[in-house]
Amino acid sequence: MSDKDKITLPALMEEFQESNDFHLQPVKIGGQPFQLFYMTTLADQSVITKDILPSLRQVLTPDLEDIQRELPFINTVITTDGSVIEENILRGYLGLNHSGADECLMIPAKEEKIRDITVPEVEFSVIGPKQAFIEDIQTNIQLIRRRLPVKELKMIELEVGSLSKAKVAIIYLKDIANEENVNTMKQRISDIDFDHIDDSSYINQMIEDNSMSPFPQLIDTERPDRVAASLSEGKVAVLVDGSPTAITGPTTFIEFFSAFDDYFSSWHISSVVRVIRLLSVAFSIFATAIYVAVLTYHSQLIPKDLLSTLIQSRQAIPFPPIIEALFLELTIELLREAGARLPTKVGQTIGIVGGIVIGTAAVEAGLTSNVLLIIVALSALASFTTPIYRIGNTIRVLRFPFLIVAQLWGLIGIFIGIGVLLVHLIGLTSLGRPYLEPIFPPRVADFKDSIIRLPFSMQSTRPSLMRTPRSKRFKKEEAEKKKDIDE
Amino acid sequence: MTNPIPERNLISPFLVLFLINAMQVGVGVLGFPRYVAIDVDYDGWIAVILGGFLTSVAIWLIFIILRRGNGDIIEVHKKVYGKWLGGFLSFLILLYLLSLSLVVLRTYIEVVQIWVFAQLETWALSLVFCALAYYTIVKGFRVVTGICFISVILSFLTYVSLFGPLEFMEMRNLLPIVDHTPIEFLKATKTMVLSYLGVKMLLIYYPFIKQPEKALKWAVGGNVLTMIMYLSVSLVAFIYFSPDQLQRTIWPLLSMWQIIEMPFLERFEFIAIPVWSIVVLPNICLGLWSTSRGFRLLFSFNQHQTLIVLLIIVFCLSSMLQTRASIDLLNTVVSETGFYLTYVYLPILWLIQTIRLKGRST
Amino acid sequence: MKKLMIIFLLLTTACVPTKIVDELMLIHATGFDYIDEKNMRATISVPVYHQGSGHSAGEQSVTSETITGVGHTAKDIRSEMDSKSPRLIENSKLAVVLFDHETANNGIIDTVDTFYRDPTVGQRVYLTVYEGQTRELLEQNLSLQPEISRYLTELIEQNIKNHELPKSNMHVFLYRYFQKGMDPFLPYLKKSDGQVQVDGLAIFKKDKMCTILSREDSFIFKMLVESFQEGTFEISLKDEEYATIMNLSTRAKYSLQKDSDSPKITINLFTKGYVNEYSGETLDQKKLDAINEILEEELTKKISTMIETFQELNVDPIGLGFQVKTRTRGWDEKEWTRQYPDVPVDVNVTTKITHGGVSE
Repeated sequence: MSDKDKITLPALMEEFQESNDFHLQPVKIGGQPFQLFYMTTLADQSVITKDILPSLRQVLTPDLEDIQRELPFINTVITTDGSVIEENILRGYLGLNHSGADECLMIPAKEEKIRDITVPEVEFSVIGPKQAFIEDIQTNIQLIRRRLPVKELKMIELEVGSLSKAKVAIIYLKDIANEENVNTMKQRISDIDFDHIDDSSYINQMIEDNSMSPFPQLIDTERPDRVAASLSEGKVAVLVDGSPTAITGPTTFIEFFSAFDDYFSSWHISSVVRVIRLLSVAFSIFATAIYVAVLTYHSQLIPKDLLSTLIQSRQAIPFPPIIEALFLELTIELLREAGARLPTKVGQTIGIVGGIVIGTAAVEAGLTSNVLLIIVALSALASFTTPIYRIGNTIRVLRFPFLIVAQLWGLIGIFIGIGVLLVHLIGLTSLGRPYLEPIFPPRVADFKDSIIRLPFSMQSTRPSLMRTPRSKRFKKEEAEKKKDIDE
Repeated sequence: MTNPIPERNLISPFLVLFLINAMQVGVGVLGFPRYVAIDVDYDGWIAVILGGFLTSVAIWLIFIILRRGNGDIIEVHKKVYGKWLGGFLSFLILLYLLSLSLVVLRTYIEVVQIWVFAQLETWALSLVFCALAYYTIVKGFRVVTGICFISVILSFLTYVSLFGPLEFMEMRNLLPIVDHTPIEFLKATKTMVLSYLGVKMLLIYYPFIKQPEKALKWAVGGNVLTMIMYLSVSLVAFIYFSPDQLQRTIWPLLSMWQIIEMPFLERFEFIAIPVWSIVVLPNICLGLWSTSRGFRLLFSFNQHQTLIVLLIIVFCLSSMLQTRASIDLLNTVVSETGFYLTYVYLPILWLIQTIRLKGRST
Repeated sequence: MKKLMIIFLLLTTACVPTKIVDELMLIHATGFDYIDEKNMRATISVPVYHQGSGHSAGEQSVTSETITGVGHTAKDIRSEMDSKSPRLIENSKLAVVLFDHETANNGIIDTVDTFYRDPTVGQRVYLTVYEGQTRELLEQNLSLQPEISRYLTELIEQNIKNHELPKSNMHVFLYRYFQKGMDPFLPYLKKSDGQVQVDGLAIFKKDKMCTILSREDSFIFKMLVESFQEGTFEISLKDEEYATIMNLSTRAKYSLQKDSDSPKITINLFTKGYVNEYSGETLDQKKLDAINEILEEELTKKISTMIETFQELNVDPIGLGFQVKTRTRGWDEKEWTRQYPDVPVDVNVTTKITHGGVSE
């Protein structure tokens, strides 16, 4: 770094001039020769011609401080530090100096090219707010601040990546978020040693407690409302410039299966939906594996009436169940991957072609049994019910190891696999908090918003997982006196 | 104590309920009704209650000894007998705890071999279980406790399953109540106590409990939970089997599961035996964890390396036991040792400890 | 590379042989026929699934085939069958075991024990006695249900649920076989006009069949051994009239009087039901009372006769010994066996006919 401190302006200029989009323009201010330099690709041309050049012409004294005072811009800096100049030029600032002098005035003229705020696509909800984060961190923070207009909302800015210089903001509510969580997050982000950070998911993977685990340990969401709700629960959020997803934590395994919609519909319905979602996840992981295990080893288990259906559907198939299952599972994965890579319209066609044509043809050709086709299709469908995209991928991948153990040792294999999975999940932490909470460690109070969602009147405390200093969300009203009928 | 246990590794007192319960309910519950019925026929359920009561007393005794010693059994032994004798006795206890893991592992493998996969090699399943136990134990005591908790929850499946055999119940089997001599009851109670023996792990994990004074009621609670499970299993077994039929049934609970038929599942035991692989996992893990922890305290070994050595020992021994007779022998030896350890040695230790303490204070 | 080889080797040796369901010969029914004192013939029935008609649901495309083997132990027979079978024979879906008359007379416990020991066989397997050669029965393709074992299972199931058969399966048989003061029974099947019919109960003394109860008697027997709700019973009144009593619910209570050294047993049978069919003219309260009385009388008479028969044969399928045992401290089995043929048994039947159906 000591070498960098010594960067002189002329050397810098020389280096910049190697790139053709660097522009150096001489101007006269108060009769003295000045030069204006900037990257044409970063600075906004119209700002230069409309605002900067006319105001510079009005300046009479050739003094940088006077110029700074006269210019209708805030955030201007006067510096002699070569590295600051370099950094600012690369952020779209204009440099202005007296030809030959070291002192330099930096004027912000960044050209903002951001897309509009759009409807969330990954976490779409039928009712409720329809805003999603965009790639600009300022806009994203604005979206959150608008939902939490309190002074307790604090922000810590960090810069990550030796090449990307990504701006990272840690956002939390003071007195509600546990300082320990904030510090852990801060520590982990500043410890990141990586050259190029493109998206929050890079950060997400780097700050996870156990990066060897297939399970995501921090939630990534594109919904500002979800982030705001998480913050008010005492969680910590991380925003990364250039990434339309925020990271929130600490979190639990169950939270990955709660959609933000669940808070918009009545609690009975969302509780039922959550249970269904969890069951469908279990179905998605285990259904094919159980099919393989039962058909390969445990004919005892099959009810008499089902037996003939199963055998008849399998009779013409020349492969053992495992080959049949792997073939179908891979087909489904193939369809999904093709659908994800192709443009939306073509993707839909692929879905139809794959689903109907390949499925039917495979059964007719005697490559797979129709019973298995139903199971695999259903479990693929079930894996798409997860509201957080990343956990859905985990679940789809988990199916394959279970298929293999099912082939090896049948149900015993599956349950030993479940044992490994459980041990793994119990051992996982999210920012040092137990991942499997409230199941283990068992905390009955936290069940109010996990597998089921109780009404808001019963959500008077924040989840104990967060260890928040202020656990009361609102003062619970004094229990109403029991009214008799018709009183 | 040499180095205090970090706060994040401690467990809350109420989790002791699961630690105790998980350690007691394992493969034993699959077969115990037959053994109780040997001495007192179908008055066995009284022995179940007596055994549960006696075990609660043992838990209370363990808590007294450990509270006074303010640490685990190794600490207590060192204080009471001095370094060499105390160390030797601790070593014996650790060997016993290790053998518990071995017994559970081997018995479960036997169940799998007889009921599910006759051709499954002992070493293969043993290897997988040892690997799983290793994976669990290296993650620390908290995870071991977690798997205990899961195991207890899964073992509640037993209660649900007991409704199946009720279709063929004959309540009169239990009559006439108390048709045996007190000596016979004593014998049956002793047999029954063997099924409750898992509590001795407490001797090692006691310092891991946050506010251990509060844990006594939870420990007894765990024991009572076990008693309720044993009571319901034995009662249902008694009203489902005729006495001579029960004597010929090695695993009454498994045979009772055979009768359960559901529209989507014809034979329940083929689901339940795999589920039991998770139910027995904490028994294997806790034994190995306690022993490796003990060796670390006793000889200042590295716990990780000790664990690997212990796993290799358990793996080799379990693969060497091949016949039913040898497994039975191992079962008998281990449970007899456990019995004398709990009901003869611990009271003696308590007495000596009392005398020592009195001697010091005067 | 070496590590990979080791893992691969471990995996291959740790594997268990697969038993893929459609590559097995799943035995659905087994029949045992008596040949001579040493040998028996076993016939297994396996389903055959027919291809091509799978598209229209509900179409029956399952029939059954048989394989037979002769030998003196189950093992012998099994190895002979294996040599005749193109695929691995598995017991796991066994639903019905049939014994012919002769085998039942000679004792069946060895065979039943083999099934009990085999963990792949469920406890709900129906054991039955068939009047003729079981091989002939299993080889048949009956028109109602071409798959014979399914036919038999459904037949027995239906008769246990709605008719005169008491609950019966392998567990019940073994329970009664091993229970002191109780003898087992099994359903007795016979063939009539191309159909199979439940023809009462085969009563066993230990494991040897000693008598057969008729269908009517087995209904009365069912009243004595279990409580149930939905029975149907027909009685004939005088003047060639008859009445059918529906929804007959029964409950038997046993009590024991020990005056001197010999016990005395009283059976109180409570039944309740309504008249559903009556061939006579009018069915008023008076008539109902009359029916009630006749019913009581008839039941009492029949039960007494049945028990007498049992006592003469010295079998105790009702489990009177068990009733005494559970009411006596220090029960002595030998003493009871000696007493049983002469134990006085009182039968009191109380019936209650609630109404005469929906029309007056």
